[in-house]
Amino acid sequence: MFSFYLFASPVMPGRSWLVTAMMSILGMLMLLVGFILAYLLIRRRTARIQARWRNIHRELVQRAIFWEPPGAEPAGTEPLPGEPTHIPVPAGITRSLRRRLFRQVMITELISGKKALSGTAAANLVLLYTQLGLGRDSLHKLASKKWHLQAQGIQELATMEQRGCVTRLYRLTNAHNEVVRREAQTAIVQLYGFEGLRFLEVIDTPLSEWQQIQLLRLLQHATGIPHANAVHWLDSPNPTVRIFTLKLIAEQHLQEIAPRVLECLRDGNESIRLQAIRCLRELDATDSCPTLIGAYPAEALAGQMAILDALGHIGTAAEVEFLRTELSAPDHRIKLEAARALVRLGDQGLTCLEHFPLADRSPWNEIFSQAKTEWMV
Amino acid sequence: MDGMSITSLISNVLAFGFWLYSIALLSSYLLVGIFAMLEMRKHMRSSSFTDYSVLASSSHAPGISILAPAYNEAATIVENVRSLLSIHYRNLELIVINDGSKDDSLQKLIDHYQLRRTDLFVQPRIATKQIRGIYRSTNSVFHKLIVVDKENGGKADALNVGVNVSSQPYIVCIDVDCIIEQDALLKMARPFLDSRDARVIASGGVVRIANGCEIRNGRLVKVHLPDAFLPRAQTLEYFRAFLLGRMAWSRLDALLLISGAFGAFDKEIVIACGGYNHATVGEDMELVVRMRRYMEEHRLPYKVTYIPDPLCWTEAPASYKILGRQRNRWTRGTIETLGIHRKMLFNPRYGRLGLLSFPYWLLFELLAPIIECVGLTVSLALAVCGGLNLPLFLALLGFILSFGILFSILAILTEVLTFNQYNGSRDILRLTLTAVLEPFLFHPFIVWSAIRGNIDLLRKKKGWGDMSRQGFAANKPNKPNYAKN
Repeated sequence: MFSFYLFASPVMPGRSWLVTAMMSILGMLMLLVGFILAYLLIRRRTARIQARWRNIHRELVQRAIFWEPPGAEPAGTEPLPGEPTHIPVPAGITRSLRRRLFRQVMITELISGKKALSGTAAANLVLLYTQLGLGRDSLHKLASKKWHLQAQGIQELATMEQRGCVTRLYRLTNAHNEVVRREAQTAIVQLYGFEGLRFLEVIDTPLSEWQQIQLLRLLQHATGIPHANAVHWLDSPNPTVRIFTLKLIAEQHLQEIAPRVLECLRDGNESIRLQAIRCLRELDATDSCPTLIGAYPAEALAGQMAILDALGHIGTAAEVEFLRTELSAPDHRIKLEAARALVRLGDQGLTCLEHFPLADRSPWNEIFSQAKTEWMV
Repeated sequence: MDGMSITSLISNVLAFGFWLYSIALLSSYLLVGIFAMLEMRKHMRSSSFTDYSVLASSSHAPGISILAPAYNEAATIVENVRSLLSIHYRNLELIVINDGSKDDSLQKLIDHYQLRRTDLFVQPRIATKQIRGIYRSTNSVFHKLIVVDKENGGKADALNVGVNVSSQPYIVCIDVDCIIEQDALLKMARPFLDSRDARVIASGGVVRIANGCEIRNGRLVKVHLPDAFLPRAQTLEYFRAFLLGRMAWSRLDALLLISGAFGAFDKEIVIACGGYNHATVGEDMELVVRMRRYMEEHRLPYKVTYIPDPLCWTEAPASYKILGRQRNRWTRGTIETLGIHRKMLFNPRYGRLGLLSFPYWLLFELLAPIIECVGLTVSLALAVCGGLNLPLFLALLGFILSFGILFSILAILTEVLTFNQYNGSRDILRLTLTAVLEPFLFHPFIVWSAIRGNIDLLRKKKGWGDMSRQGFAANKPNKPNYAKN
């Protein structure tokens, strides 16, 4: 780690210089230790205060969850005179809301409640957030120049369904900062579902795989994707948008778009072709088998493996012959994938394996055995 | 020129050289500290927006194979495997490689997990020792588990077998007795999915010291600072290495080492590089260097990332004897790796790797103990000859020692400001005291072990040495097994 040496030498720094440097370092060291201890102390105190505040907030949140707006009772009932039209908030809380940290703890509590709830209870929490004017805090963060504050503001506004700021959020879907951009895209989709995906038309930065997974999860229960939009996105100059669209088409089982997906097999980008093959498999596009077989020779190993896998799922007896030829491929991985596909095709595939001339020789005997065992499991 | 002036000239040149070296070393530590703090701040802010549970349930999550080589781990293997099976991840395969254990590790696994020998075609894409059998469970609860029984060939060979058997695109190599946090894979998988322009070929995780922690059913229940000095000094050392060192190198995109105890790799690149190298005891570092070299030579854009979150906990050597063997091996591994890839040193073709990482490792990791030893010996010789200016010597010693302690305190500060695992002022004060004592009680032994490593390498000594540990619970094995980290 360090070398401890010294010579009586004129090229070395003087003793007084070294002693001063050492004393300065020791001073810094003491300051750092003091800072750490003070930080821990303040943190513990803040944690205690925040825990107390959280208890207060939880009470209010619970009250808000079970609050019923006037007139929510039997149809036609008019609100009684003096009946509150807002969620009643104790005066103490209203006073404390002047403190920024108190408001932030409240926002955090409301957000965690909103994430865990749905229906009227969740709507009431949004109402409380609006009623307490907490949206101003989130908007203030959105206006910040610090990316992490912007991202936090976006998350808060999206979770609390603040659709009024959609224009500002939409503008950030192509932001320079990756986290801000990601959060804005997520927020828009969270608020508007498929409609929110219109940012796909303008983004010029790649959609990371992580972001694609995030968006797909948000859309998994959404319905009514406009087919025309999906087809349009497949023409995007941004390759990651095309990949994402193919995943979306597969997830949403948009069989009608299968012919357009088939065209993607001619795309110059290998990742897009690979995704298109997987998409065709998910779409159960049996008609696409001849095209897949036609594309097979030009594909790299990953593409060929994906085609064999797809044929195993969507193929018919017509593909058995092609798969049989692939049992003689030089790469064992191709042999194994072809054998798996044949096993999946049922009796005709199994018969093909049994009658394969080298079936009892290594490695075919091991490969066939594995393919059959996997199928049984 | 008379004899006296020649001696004086040599002395001056040496002194100036040593002084320059010290300044360069201390400056590099300062830069490491600054870079690490900046990167850590960015990581903490960014990860606060991430919901890792998204990946836990997604069918689009990439497949991962955990490779856990085991040698003579019978006493703990069943528990360890259970702990690994409980990790949250959807597309997961756990491959335990029994590297010809002399105990009943395999039988215990067969009995407990209801294993049955199975037909699994393995394409030997990396040459390894013979596989004796592959086992899968008949119980669907353990469907993720594959146990491979093979002839003994060492950890590198066992990992290569795991790579051959693995069916997933990413591999996570771990020590079977490490305790992995349940969300560890979700966090490790993230960088592979988040990269946009460059392919992430490897991702390293932090290894933390588990000595003194409460562990139940293979899970870490409560974190405690070790009571014994040696593990506590290593806790501090790991703070410096993982929270500062690797974080800084990660920011510079010039990370050379991913701990063998916990690292994730892109399998395709691992295979393209030929897998783990059997010929070195530093197979973890060598693989990362070789993967990076491969990508540089093929002009492929790539990244090696690093996750500072505490995801993996390991037992640190609690005796000087075992610690010495471990550090001896690390030194030999480093020298072997730098020797194998010496072509990269100061070679602009390898970019930051050749011009920054390699020179740093050579000058400040490999040569530091040697220079320290030479410096002390020369100082002693000069003291005997009456040529040593004692007050100046003590001033410089104090300067360097105080800087070392300051760096340790900076590491403690980073821990407190980020993950703050050791809650409470008492633990922090104990760590501070350890930082003060470490240069006297711990560091000299580490330097001595490194020198022994150099000597052993010159003697062409191979192998890991007996790395018996106490274990996390009572009744732990005392047979030799794989060293860790």
